[in-house]
Amino acid sequence: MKKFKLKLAVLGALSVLSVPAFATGLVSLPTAGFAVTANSDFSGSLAGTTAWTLCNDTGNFGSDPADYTAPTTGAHNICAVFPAGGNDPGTPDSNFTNVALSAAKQSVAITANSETLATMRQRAYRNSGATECIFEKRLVMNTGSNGMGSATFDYNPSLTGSQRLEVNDFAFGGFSGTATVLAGYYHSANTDSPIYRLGRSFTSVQMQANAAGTSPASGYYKRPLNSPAPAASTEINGVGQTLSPPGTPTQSQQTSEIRTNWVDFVVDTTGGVDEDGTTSKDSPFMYVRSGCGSGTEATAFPTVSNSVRIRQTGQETQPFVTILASGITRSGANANF
Amino acid sequence: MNQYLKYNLNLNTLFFTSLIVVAMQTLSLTAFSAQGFVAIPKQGFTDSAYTLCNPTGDFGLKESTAPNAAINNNCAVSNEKLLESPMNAPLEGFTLVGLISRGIQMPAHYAGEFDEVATLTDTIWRNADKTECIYGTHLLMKPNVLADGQMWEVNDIARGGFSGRPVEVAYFIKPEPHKEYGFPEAVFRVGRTFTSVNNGKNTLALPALQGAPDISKAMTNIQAAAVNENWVDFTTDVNAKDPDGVTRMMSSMLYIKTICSDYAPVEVENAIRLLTTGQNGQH
Repeated sequence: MKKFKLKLAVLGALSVLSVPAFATGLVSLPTAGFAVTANSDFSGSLAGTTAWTLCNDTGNFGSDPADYTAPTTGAHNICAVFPAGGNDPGTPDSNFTNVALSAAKQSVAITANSETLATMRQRAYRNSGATECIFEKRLVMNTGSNGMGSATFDYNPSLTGSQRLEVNDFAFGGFSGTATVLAGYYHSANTDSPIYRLGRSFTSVQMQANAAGTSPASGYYKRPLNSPAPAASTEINGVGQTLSPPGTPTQSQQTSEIRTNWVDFVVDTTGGVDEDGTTSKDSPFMYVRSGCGSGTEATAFPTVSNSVRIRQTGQETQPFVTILASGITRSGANANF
Repeated sequence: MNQYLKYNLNLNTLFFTSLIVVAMQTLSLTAFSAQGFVAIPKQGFTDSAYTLCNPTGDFGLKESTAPNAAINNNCAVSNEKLLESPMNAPLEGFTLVGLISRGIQMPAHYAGEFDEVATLTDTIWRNADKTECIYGTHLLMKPNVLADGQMWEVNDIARGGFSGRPVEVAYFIKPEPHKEYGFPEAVFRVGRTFTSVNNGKNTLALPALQGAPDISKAMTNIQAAAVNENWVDFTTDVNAKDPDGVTRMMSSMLYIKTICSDYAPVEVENAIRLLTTGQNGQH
């Protein structure tokens, strides 16, 4: 029954897209969002408009003990692309070619309290007319044994032992000035997380699973609605730390406004063993395709302060953590909400 | 125009908005051991709004010395967990409830080619009873040149929101240098004040109370500061390339312990201030 509902939701999402002749490929994120019908997420879920579209339909946002199923060209491949492979996959679309970036832009250390939490890889690809670009970002979390220093810090003190930072959302800013935005991911290895959902949203929305881990707990939206919108500066909307999960969210704790400047990728990436037992220490390669311009690296791909958000949203009662970092984005772009 | 007002950023911070109303708490003016958290009374100290922490380093003009169990350890904390990682709470029984780390952007008029000049990490830990919180602050300077060709120097880090609350402060220095960022700078003094005071040659280690400007004055080169119970000011000296030749690009872990509630943290605007007081003639 749940599976049937999920398929309906996905079909609903696809029906408003302009291009999807195939399931695979980057998906369009229209500025108007997507329409959802009542009861499409769960019995009693409301109708409305959502910023979000669902991608990998397995794994229950990383909580399913049976783990997710990696996308293939044949299945579970919504939002997924399949470039040449490996850790330096190159362009995800043959109409776009790599634009050489300086070393400082290709690899960015992500820090908090002067400890390195992750390293962010960045690439940019541009079409021959220099009208559209694909921005690629991929984060490798510090596991304590991959050359980024110690990673012994505990990001979930309510559990015994020491837990690593669990990233549930990566959000990238700078896209308000472009009508065309498509997004998707490349899952390169089983140490990557897939993308569970993505949306043109600044605010990330907390997700918690039922006791079995196999589906969202009561009241959690897979595709959070656009309203009632939380305050514009809200990094994470949810029930917060719930020491005996799952917390029970109100409807207004499960919303996020459509913000055309941002694309939020929902993952489950942890620099160590995840509280839910399944571990993906790396993000997938995440892509945003948008309008862009000609010119050199400095002109066309400027680094914009705080245009990257890395968030732990309390899937297993962790405290909310938000790391703001600088990343490359479109010429003239900003990191406004 | 006061040149010392040039760099005075107001930043958002995580904070608990729900103030617990308490009866006037009696705080002992002398209630601190040589090492550990130090009470910063809301009425200040006898002769100053500030108290001295690490007396070495001449407010950053020279190399400061990390505190140890025997010496230079006023306001200093250290324990096994902190040595492991500064993400851990400085006191037993406190656990992480929120963290935001963000890039600090210099306003366009003062910025060079790239405007991000520091990374500020704002961390909150709370005790199990949900009655006390520790607010952690850490600043890492970035080597991006300003419009004037220099790098940004921060001499004071001030946090607001403590009116009516008891406050204790401490700092932690990791004794081993960070492989990229080196040693952190010590905390030289801490005050219950909004007013940061220029330090350098021929200045007072502890600014006077007498002759102080109004409690709303953010910076002064008069060697006096009035008590402002809403604010806690840490005096340090961080700069990715300090013109005085002694470069420490990251702050210690700065801690403020006070009462709080069981509410979730929220952001409050302009509750952290980073100030350049012109130690090396910056303007």
